[in-house]
Amino acid sequence: MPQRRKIGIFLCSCGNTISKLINFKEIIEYFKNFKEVELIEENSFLCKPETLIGFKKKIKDNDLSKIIVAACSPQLKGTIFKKTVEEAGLNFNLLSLVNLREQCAMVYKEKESSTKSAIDLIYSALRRIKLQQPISSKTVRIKQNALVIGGGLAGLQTAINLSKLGHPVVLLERESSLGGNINSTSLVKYNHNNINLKELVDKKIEEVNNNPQIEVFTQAELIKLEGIVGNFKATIEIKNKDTRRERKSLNMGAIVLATGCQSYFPSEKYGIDLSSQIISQSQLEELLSSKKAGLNGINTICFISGIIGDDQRLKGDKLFNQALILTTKYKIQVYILCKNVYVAEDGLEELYQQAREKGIIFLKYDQKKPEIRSKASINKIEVSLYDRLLGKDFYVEGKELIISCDLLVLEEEIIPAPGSKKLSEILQVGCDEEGFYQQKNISLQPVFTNRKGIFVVGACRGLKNIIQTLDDSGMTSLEIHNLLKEKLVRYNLDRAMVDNDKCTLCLTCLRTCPHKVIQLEEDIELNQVKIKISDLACEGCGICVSQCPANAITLPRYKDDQIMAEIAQTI
Amino acid sequence: MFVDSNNKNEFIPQIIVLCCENSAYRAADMAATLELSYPEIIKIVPFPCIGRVEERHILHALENGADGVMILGCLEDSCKFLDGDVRTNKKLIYLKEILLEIGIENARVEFHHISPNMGAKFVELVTKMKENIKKLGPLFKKM
Amino acid sequence: MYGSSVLVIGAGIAGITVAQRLTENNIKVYLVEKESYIGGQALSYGCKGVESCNECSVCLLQRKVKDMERYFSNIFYRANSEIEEVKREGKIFKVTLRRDIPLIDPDKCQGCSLCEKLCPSSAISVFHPQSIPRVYSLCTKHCLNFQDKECHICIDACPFGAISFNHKITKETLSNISAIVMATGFEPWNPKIKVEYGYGENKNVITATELEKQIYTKGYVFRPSDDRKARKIAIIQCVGSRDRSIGNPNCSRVCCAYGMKMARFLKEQDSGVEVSIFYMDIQPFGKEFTKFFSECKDDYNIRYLKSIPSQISQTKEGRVKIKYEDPQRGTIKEEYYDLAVLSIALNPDTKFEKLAENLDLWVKDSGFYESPDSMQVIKTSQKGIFVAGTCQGPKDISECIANAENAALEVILFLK
Repeated sequence: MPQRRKIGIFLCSCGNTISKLINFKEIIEYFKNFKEVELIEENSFLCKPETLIGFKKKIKDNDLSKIIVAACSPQLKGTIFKKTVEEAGLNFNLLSLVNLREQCAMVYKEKESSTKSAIDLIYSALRRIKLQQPISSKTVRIKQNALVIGGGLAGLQTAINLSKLGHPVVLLERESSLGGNINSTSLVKYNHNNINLKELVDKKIEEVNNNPQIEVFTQAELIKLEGIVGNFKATIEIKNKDTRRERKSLNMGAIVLATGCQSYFPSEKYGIDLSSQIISQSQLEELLSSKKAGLNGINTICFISGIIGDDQRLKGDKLFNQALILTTKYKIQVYILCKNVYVAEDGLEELYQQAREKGIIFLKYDQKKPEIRSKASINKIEVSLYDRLLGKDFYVEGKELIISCDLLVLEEEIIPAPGSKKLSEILQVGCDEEGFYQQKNISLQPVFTNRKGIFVVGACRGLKNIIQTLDDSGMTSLEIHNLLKEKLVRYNLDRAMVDNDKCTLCLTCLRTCPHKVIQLEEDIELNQVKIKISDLACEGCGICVSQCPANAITLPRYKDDQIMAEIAQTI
Repeated sequence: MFVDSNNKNEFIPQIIVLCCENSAYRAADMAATLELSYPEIIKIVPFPCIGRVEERHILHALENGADGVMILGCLEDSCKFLDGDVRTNKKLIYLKEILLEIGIENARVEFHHISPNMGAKFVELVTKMKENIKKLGPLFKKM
Repeated sequence: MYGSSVLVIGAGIAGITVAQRLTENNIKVYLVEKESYIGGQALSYGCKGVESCNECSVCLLQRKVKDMERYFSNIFYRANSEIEEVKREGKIFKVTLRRDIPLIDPDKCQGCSLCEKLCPSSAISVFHPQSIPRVYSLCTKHCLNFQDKECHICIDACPFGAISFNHKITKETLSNISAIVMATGFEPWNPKIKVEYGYGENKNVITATELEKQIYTKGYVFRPSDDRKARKIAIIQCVGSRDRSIGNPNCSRVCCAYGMKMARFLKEQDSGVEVSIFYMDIQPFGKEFTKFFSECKDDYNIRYLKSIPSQISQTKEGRVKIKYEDPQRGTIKEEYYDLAVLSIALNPDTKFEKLAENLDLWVKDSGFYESPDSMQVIKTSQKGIFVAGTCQGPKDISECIANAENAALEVILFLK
């Protein structure tokens, strides 16, 4: 004979915040004679530790099998009640929380309305809880190591942090040596604080190489990724010295993307090609750092910024530094044409002032872009722009300011490192419209991706500041530490579950899961494939449940029958 | 169907609000802290993501006393699970076409984007729907 | 391993993030906050999205503040407290806290709002409807009792005995602190200093914080002089920043982003509203910035004027007159608006300098913290002392979170 359901309803008056707005007597009268309601009572402050002791006792003494707590918003004290109910020996899914305060007592003007609403809410919870079953938990063994893809500053710092927290690290670098962009001359050599970035990076490379917990693979790339957080199966390909390719399979707990960025000269956006007289900022950088006399005979240099885009981060301080070197060391007259000057970082305003004091001329343009003309006859480039101080009605009169220069330096675009798109497909992480990792979604800020256990650090997510990159590394290492600090992870099975008998293998769930936790698994014995939902990584959103045409997937806490029982109106 | 004890003939629309736990549910909580109030009773049903909402839930609501169903998800580009709001909105466009074919007006099922601190907007949306449905009348004329 | 405790000074976004993260790693945390609510400056900001998200990150803070309910049982939280003195004794710090218990005791107040409803002179209010913990505070300027009229309606009404007109100051010594994290944050600059803008006298010249309050109380933007809806709004950038005449030559980094998102929000709410932004140089931010900026100009018709007004005055009818140089023609123009919103500079918190002196920390000319390591700005020259958040310099919310987490990492590694 089935055991009689014994549901306990605990109402909280929250001091008298709720009780003076709701007629508790009427509610108790309404429910006390329901045969499944064993107990219904009012409490003053149910969340207080003293009251909770009594609460637990009542559950045990009355042998209650399911509990409804009608109090303030579940978002406030929900975890406290769940914990208490578990301490009293009941599964957390046998507790239902009704929002009697914020969504009932406080929002109706008349006591009659709020009481009616309270009765409806509690009745809905009663119908729902009858269909709620205990949810068990599962323990899995996970790997506690991490894979860092990218050996630039971001990757190096993350690897160092992770190993300090006790996690073994595998560091993958595509090139033959570590260091990333700071290794070469093409990006960010200077910093307004005159810190030698190359020295900084070299120190970190040394630290990584001397660390037995960090295994470094150079000339290595990730070519395949399977599995989920705690148990990623990564296949890497290493190009050996004799150009043979070796494949290795690694078992990793978490993955960090630190692939960085690159600069790119968009001739198509400028409408001009690079030449001996029109160069990019990176080419100027090489000229300045090489021993060749590339700047001999140059008297005037003009920089133009802001034509291809409004984002001067990562190019702004380089602009000041390059211009200052040209003025002070080479005694060249420098003009900088820009829309907006980038000064939003420490020390940049000082650099801007210094630049102007040293004789660098800044000319700001607005809607009309500067025009670039080549004057081959005099071997110069002419840049013309409209300057408002020269002509009051310049659109009408057309007062141009023409700068004749020997060398024109144009700004480049910062784009993701080559191969980023392919990597995003291998890892199934999203990108934004510019190709940087992380879709444009605030809940992914700062370092998260749509997949649990995969993180993004540094320039490859569009960040353009070294201080932020180091902060990102710190945060990512702590997040990974939080995920992987225990070898055995215990979690509740309130995640999506698939009934393979109902599944028609349409693969809709696989395609729609935003966290990519659904995969096709081969069942060798039965010689078939089936859908597998990795419950450790499942976030419980229920999107797959609602998309499945065969109703083969369920979410234990939000089953259809439970939802519909809650929705149906009280008669 | 709740019957207004004062005026047995006045139609009080029954509205069910299907709320995303991350945005709309919190907005409803915030409406209380701002000391706003609803004119008549509504019922709020939470979901882990508004992407969990299926057409059958809405139909079930309409079959069981609701005169209108309001579905509230996160602002575009801010869904915690990335595209739950977009998916449900798409489902509803198709559902509303079918409902219209069987005579159920579009104004009875609405989808809106809301953020967790738009308490005032929550109340405004619900109040406006109540007014619209009052003009349309009850879904099933006299039980 | 982690037997001792860590002191976190400041419960804004950075302080909360550090405290939560350390607690998750079984470290005892004392969280000290000078106000009676947690959340800091960013709590007064509202979501800037209307139909689509504008990535203002305010929800990130609100989520963390709501989560604090879970952590309160594990964190030793001290509201209305300030650091009086820190003494180092070997590896341990001995910290004296001074607690100015407000007239409404936050430990007893349950946020039932009875006092607010009964107060005859509206002297009682809560800082923000979403503040946690939800405690009320009494303003002595409005309270009748402090105006020599006897009234103790609130004291009698309070069911928890939380109100008292006697000021109490208590001191507490924490003697087992192994590490300190400074997260004192920032303070908005006082725009009254920029006399040309007439802030304070001109009622319709308001700060961004006051605009936020208008939005979350009334849901729309209005002129404080007559409560009429504002249809023509001017947002002035760089008020107090990049201005050598008032002693702050530096850029405050986050105001361009803020002004642009606020303007976009106002236009999305009501496309009939005219919004003009007066700026110096627009500083880029976030993802896909070029696209965001051009959408603001082209799709949302926000008017961008590369000119900083020289003077703002108000007519008798309450119209705001803005005098500025036309960036296209170089002529002086005067335009009338309903409302002028000032994007204020960020200053370090007033208590920071004294604390920095006590702790022997470097301070920049601007008053913000200066790190000996200009890459890892969370580090200090003192062993066991770390810095997080905007007390180091202006940052936006997600940068603060990453920075605070990095500081938490350093604390954890230090304590190992």
